[in-house]
Amino acid sequence: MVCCAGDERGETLIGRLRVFNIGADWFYEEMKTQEIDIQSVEWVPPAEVPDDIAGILASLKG
Amino acid sequence: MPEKKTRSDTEEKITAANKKAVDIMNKGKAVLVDFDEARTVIPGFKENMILHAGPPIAYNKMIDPMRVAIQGALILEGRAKDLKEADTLAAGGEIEFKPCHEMSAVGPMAGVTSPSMYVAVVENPEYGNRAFCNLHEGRGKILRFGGFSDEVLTRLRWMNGIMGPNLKKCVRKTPIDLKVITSKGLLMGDEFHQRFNASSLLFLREIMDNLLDLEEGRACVRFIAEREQYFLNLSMPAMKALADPADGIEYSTIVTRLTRNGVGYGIGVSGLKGEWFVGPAEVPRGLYFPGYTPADAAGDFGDSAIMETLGLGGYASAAAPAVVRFIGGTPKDAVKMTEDGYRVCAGTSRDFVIPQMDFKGVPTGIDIIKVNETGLVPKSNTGIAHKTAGIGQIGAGVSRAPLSAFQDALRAFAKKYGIGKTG
Repeated sequence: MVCCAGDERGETLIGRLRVFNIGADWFYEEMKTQEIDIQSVEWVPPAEVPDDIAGILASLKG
Repeated sequence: MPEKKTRSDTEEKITAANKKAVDIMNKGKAVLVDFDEARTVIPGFKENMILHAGPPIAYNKMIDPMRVAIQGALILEGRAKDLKEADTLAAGGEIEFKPCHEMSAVGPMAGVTSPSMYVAVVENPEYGNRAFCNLHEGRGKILRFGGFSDEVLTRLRWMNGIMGPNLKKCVRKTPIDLKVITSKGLLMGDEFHQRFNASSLLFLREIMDNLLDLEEGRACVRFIAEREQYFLNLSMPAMKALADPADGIEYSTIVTRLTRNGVGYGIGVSGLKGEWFVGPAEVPRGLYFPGYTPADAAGDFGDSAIMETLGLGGYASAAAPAVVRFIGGTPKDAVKMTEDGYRVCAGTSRDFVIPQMDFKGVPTGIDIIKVNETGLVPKSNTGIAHKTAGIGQIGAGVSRAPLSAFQDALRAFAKKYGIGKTG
């Protein structure tokens, strides 16, 4: 997944994390709970996910 | 600053539908109101019908323990004099086999339910539906594990002749709220798939006074008291009664049934009412009794994963530290199983809370989208049966649902609702 967060200096950090077994929504909520200034979490399909499933999930996430 | 993404219309509809499904699961009630013969109380039950656990399967494709359980049931019904004759009858096409789930019923392990068998009747008065489950036999040589002998037959006849009618008199006089027992049981260390020690005794306390007034009442009390998992066959229809009203909600991606027949592991999804998505049933991983290995085990079977469908069992593992060593883990593993549940469920239970998770409700409403997104498939705490009928339970462990069933369900969902590329 791609994680976008603002650091304490107001700059934007973009990181790519390999966290297939966590889930983007859960990760986003957890960061919010920890009061990390996270802007968004974008789910990026790992290799384990078939292409058609990745396409459906991408459509659902707008 | 990155532009924040907006939610699509479809996602909004899915979120609303899933909230509705979880609300229905939470709002429902589960009251034990009756016991009676399957032919009398299960709507549509036929005299030539036998119910089995899991998704649909032909008799000749079933695992050995399930086939022998069916043969035993045919002998109980007086339709065959021995296992061989029963096998011929079952294979001949005269008997109609149906998944319990398609008849508003559930059954542990083989799940075999024949016309004269007494079943528990659980009512959800909030939504006006009922669910059914056969009676608990205990452990050892029992029909649900494919065990059959004179001892098994004698016990089944006693359950039909004495135990069932006695239970009927008791609950008709005093219906029992099964959600209350479930809530208390979680606080007392039951996770409701392997461990039912507390809830079985809580149930006995509710029914004991009435039972003792009846013929052979003491024998019935002893029968329940000696069986630590007695509440399993009451808890399962309770969860079925809570899950069924959440089925058939357009756009909902919430799982409404998880079940296995030893060959296939089937799931059902609310927004895809009536459809089965089936992947392979695996051999559970866990601890085996001395002398047995995974090579001896049958594929995972039973409707008992209805417990995980409502957030109990594997998802409530954190509530039952006593279970984790038996199923081959540590207390940390148990907490992780519960945390994994939160990652793939749309909500939490209002009434079923876990003290070890700061009294948070158990994960409720497995979402096929989240399962596909995370790869975290539901895991069930389950008994392990020998692949050869007659031996029975050889261990206990954890079985995983096949990701392929969730992928097929998502493909079907996308096709029905016109989402993405469906290939």
